[in-house]
Amino acid sequence: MPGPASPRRDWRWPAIGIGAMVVLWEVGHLVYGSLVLPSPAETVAALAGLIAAGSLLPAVAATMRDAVSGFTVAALVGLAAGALAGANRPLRHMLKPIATTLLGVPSIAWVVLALLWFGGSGLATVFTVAVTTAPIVYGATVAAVASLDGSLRTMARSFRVPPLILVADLYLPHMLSYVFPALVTTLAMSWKIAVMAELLSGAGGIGDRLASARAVVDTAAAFAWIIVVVALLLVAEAAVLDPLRRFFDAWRRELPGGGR
Amino acid sequence: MSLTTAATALRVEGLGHGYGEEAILADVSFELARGAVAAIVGPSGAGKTTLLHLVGGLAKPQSGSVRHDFSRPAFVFQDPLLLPWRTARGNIDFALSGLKLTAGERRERIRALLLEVGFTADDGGKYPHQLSGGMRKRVALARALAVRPDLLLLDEPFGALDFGLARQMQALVRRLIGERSMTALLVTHDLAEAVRLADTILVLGKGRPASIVAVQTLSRPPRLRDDAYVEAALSRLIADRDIRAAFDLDPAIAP
Repeated sequence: MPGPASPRRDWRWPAIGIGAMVVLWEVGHLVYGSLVLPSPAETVAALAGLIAAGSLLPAVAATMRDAVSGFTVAALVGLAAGALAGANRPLRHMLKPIATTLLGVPSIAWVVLALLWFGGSGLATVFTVAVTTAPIVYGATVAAVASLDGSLRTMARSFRVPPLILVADLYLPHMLSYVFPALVTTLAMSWKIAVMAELLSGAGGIGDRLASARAVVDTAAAFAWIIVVVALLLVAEAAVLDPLRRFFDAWRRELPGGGR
Repeated sequence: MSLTTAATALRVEGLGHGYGEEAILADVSFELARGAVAAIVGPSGAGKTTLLHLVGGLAKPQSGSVRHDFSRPAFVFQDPLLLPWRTARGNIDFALSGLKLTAGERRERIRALLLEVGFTADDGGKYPHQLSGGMRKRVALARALAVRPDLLLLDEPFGALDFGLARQMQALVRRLIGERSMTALLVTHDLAEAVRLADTILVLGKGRPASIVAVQTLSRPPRLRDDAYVEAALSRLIADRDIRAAFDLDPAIAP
C-alpha cells in the first residue's frame, strides 16, 4: 500500500551535519591560517565584497549562458541522434562506439581541445559542455526508444487505440519519463563543466573569476566563488530539478520492465 | 468469419505458430460455444500466452485458422499494464479512445465500471503507483470490460495476487462474465483456478511444439462450486495420465 504522500522532513540531522562542517572549517582556519583556509566569516565578507562591487551577477549570468547554451546543443543533438538510432539498429551499432569514445574522453581533455580550436572565446565553454553531455542524452534517448516496443504497446493495440492517441498518450510520456531524468542530470553537470572550462579559457564567468582569485592568491575570494557555485546548484536541485526528477522517476518505475 | 454450427462461436483449427526457428504450437484445435468459459492450463512456457494472443488477433497464426463470430475481444493481461501517467479513470478512458462515444458516455461508463470493481470515486482519481497490486488488477479488469467485449481473454490475471485477493477477483470475474453473458478464455498455470472458473479445461502439453493433450468439462454451475467440489475435481484432474505428463509429474498415480 502506498504510504503518506510526503512526511515532514526532519531537519535536525542535516543541521547538525552543516554545523559540524562549519566548526571543522573554523578549526582548520585556526590551524592553517587565512592563506590556506580563510575562516567562514572572512569568506562571507569576501562574498559581500563581490556583491558590493557588482561582479557577482555578471559572472553568474555569463556562466549560466555558457552552461545553458552548451546544454541546449547537447540536448538537441542527443535527442535527434538518439531517436534515430533507437529506431534503426545498424545506426545504433554504428554510433555506439562513437558515443562510448566521447564519454571516455575526460572533460578536462575536451577543454584543452576546445581552447586549441576556439581560442579563449566563450565558444570553448559551450563546446566543452555540449560534447561532454550530449552522449548522456543520446544514451537515455536510445534506451527510451528501444524500450518502447513493449507490452504497453501490445495492450494499446489490443484496444485498437487510434494512432494519434497512441503518440500523445503512450509514446510521448514514455519518452519523457526516460529522457527527462537524464536531461536534469546533464543540466546540473553542464553548470559544473562550464565553470571548469571558463577557468582554463579565461573568457569570463565564475570560472574566470576563480582563476583571477587564484592568480592574486585571494583564497577568501576563491572560497566565496565556490560557495556561489554550490549554492546555486543546490537551490536549483532542491527547487526545480529534484521534484521533476522524482515525478518522472515515479512514471518510469511503473513501466513494465522499469525495474523496481 | 461465420461458423457452421450455431452454438459454436469460436473455432480454432490446426493452429501452429513459432518464433524464428522454434515451433511453439502445432496442430492446436478446439471449439468454444457462445457464453462458455474455457481455461487453457499447462506448465510455464508451454505457449499459453501465444495461443491467447493468436485467438485475440494480436498475432497472425503461421498455420491453421482461428475463426469466430465475436466483434469485440478484450484482454486482461498478466501484468495490469496501466499507463503510469494516467489515473485509474484515465487508463480506462485510454481503452475507450478507439470507440465512438461522447465525452458524457465515456464518463458514465467509467464511473459505473469503477463502482462495479469496488472503487470509490476517490480511488478513481489515483495513479497506478498509488494503488495496491489488487487495485491495479481491478483497473485492468474494468478497462477490459469498458469496451463491452463479447469475448474476454484473460492471461494469468491473478497470478501475482495473494491467495485471498486471487479468490476475491476470481469470484468477481466469474460474476461479471455471467451477468454480461460474455464468452471467456482464461490462461492459467493454476489448475484450481481453472476448476473454479471454467466450464471446459484445455490442457496444453509440455512438448515442443505443444498441442492440446486433454480436455475436461465441469458440469456444475460455477456459483455452486464449493471448496469440496474444487478439491474433488482437482484430484480427478491430477489423476489423469495426460495431465500428469503435461505437468511433468510421476506417471504413477498416487493412491
